[in-house]
Amino acid sequence: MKAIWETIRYQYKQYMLSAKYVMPLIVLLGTLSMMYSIAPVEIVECFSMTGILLFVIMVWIGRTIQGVEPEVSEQVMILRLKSDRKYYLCHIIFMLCICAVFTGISILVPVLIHIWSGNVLFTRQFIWSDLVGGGLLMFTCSFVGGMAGELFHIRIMKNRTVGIGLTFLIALLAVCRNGVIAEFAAMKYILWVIPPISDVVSWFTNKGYFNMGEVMRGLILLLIYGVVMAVMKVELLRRVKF
Amino acid sequence: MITLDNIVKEYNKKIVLHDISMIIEHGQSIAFTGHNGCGKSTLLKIIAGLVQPTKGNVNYERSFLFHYVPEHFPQMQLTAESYLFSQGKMEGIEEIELRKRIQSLSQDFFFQSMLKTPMKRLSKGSLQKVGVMQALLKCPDILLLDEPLSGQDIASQQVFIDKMNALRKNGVVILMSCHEPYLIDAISDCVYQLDDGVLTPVNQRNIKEKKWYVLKFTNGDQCSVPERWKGHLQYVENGCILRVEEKDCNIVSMEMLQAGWNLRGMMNESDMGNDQVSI
Repeated sequence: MKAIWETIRYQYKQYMLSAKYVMPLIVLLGTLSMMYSIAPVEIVECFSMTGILLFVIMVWIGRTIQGVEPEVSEQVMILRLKSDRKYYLCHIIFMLCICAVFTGISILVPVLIHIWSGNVLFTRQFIWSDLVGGGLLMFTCSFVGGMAGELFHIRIMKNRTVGIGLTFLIALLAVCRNGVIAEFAAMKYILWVIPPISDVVSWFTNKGYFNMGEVMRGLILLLIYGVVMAVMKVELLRRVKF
Repeated sequence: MITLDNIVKEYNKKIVLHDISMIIEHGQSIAFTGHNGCGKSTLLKIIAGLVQPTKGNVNYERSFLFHYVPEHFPQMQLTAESYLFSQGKMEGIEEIELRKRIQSLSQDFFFQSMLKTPMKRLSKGSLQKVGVMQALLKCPDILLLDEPLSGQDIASQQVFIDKMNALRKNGVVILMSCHEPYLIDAISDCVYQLDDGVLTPVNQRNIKEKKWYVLKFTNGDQCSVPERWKGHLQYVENGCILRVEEKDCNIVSMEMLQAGWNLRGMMNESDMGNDQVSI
């Protein structure tokens, strides 16, 4: 357990020094400030849209984080931990930490703006289900994004351009899957493999409050996709090795 | 301890390792020699389980702690001290003990003044020292050395040899990919030559019987070193020195003179002190 904790701490140090989080963070803050520049807005709708935004940003982070740790250093650590699975698990936990931080920022920004603006940002007052429901939705969307961004790891997909292209395609289809299926019904037999981000978010559009039952349903659905992608990535990396 | 059964490795349909079988016993120190790109590093990584063989199996008696000194240690933003500290903590070494260990190793390898330097600013030789120190933070079961001395200064090379021999006494298995005969002679008890993917045992006496010469060259202007001798080269003040086999002395001298270098001296390595042998 201590080894896992220390590996995550090491990954944190490496990531912070790489500064690869700066651009995604600027984009997140910029988009949030634009989103909340008009008042009043619906809490549920804004938080749901933020889920999509976090998904896209975490796809970006998942793609760029791959270059942070040199391959040789990864080899040294895998041998040190005596398990490649343990090393990859540490990385997934670290990604979850990034998801948590970005979700926290995405909730904190509107809350602060709401307080600063004299409680006029939203059409109604905050209740606990907004924070819990919205937070869980954002967190799971960002987790799925992170795992989707890492799925075509540079060791799994040696052709970097193809890897980036496929990652972009998954992100795009996940965001507009609903619309594509509405237009071409037969696509549902293919697009079920794509994370249902747009489907889950659509459950909350035009809703005044977060229904915790629906939040849990979305959470479980997205978690399944996220976990499947994480397991696929780990097992593929273990198979291709270095 | 570790058994390699009919290991085959192909890269882009080119066979790098062909049907390699061997048994690695407890406490052995094995050196693998051969041309650049002949598959020595790949073989080390296959033994450690970092590279998947195309065919064949590697069987381990139990789960071993491998430590690995790569040929090119990567440049990073972290300071050397921070990196070593993180690696030691990952292995569960207590903080006080770890700090002592890092201080002691950095002192041994003349690295104390560079501990707080970001690794991206370290020279190749200094980075290599970080690579060696991280592997010595804790005593492993098996130590993999991939060209461990590349770029290191003479004094550090001797420290390295002493430390490796101390590990051997503790029963650590050392598997090394190496070109330097004096290093093989100093720390290995078994040598294999890897040629065209085939592994053959080498009589160490043959290595010892080869005569090695150190040639010193100086130059005023910027002269290049012929590509094939770069692996034998070490730059020194006002020039460079090359360590070559007796049979290559004439051709090296001629090619270096043609490249604009001036020959300033040539010595039989055996006539020099062991600590002077540096390449």
